[in-house]
Amino acid sequence: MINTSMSEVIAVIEKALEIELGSLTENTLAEEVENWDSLGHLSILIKLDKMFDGKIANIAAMSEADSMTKIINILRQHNLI
Amino acid sequence: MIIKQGTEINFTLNPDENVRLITAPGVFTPNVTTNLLVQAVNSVISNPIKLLDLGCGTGIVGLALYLKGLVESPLYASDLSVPSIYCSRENFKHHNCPADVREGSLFEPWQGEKFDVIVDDISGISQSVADVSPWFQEVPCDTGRDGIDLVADIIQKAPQHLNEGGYFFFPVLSLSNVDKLLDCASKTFASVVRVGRQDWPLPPDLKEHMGLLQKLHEAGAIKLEKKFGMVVCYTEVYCAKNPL
Repeated sequence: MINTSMSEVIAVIEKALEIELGSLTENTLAEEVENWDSLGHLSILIKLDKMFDGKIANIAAMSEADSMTKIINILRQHNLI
Repeated sequence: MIIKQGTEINFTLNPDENVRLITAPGVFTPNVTTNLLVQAVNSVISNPIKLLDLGCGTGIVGLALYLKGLVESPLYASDLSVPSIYCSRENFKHHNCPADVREGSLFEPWQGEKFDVIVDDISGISQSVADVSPWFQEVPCDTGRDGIDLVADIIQKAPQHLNEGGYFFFPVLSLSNVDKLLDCASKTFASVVRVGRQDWPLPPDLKEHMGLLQKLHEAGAIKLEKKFGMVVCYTEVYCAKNPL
């Protein structure tokens, strides 16, 4: 059973990037967010990995997921949301 | 002294705070470790203290702490590199920060002197990695194969330069023998506490040398972690006190 909602995922990503809650939408691109550089992206992945109990670490596609759409699609493909 | 090819940069301490710095060839460029050190000291220290910025480079760590009101004037700083001495003096002067800046290796300029807080801004990475990395071009880095020679020496000598109750902050990078370094620290100080950590992706320049890095990892000289489809490194900052 999937317990995590998309809004929770977005909030975690906003926290990882240290930006205001509500800054991101499902369509935001990394290039549109100042803090979403390589360090910011790694912060996102670490926080998501913690959120999903270590299930993100082995998803190689996450390293290239440079948008909210891509991240969300990957999470859906792996039945995490 | 004339420093040729000086460059002005703006270093981002946090999203709301940029600090203008002069830097030059032979001066270490501030990076992730810089911010981590500043945040670490800021999280432990709340009143102005007598501070030594060891291996100051541009002077940014001491300067950032001064700008936060945490430094009792003057700020003390030193570096082996002559261009660093010049740049840090310029940076302190530009920001109206009274400073005593000395040239020399490790604690050599500070014989007989003690401080409330020493920030070790000298982080070690494996010499083999430093030789192929973008961070130490024209910058001194004589750290040994497992990257700990300099920092271990500093850790062992730090107690001689700490006032009673003083704190010693030092960074540890996963591109060095972390376990050996922390073991050295725990044999020198009664309390060694991690106060900061930043994970960061292996830079593209180093990805080209994965064969070398893998060998160093297998030999225990560095730690590489592969996750999220990338190679991840980390920097940790430790706060040590109560010398044994």
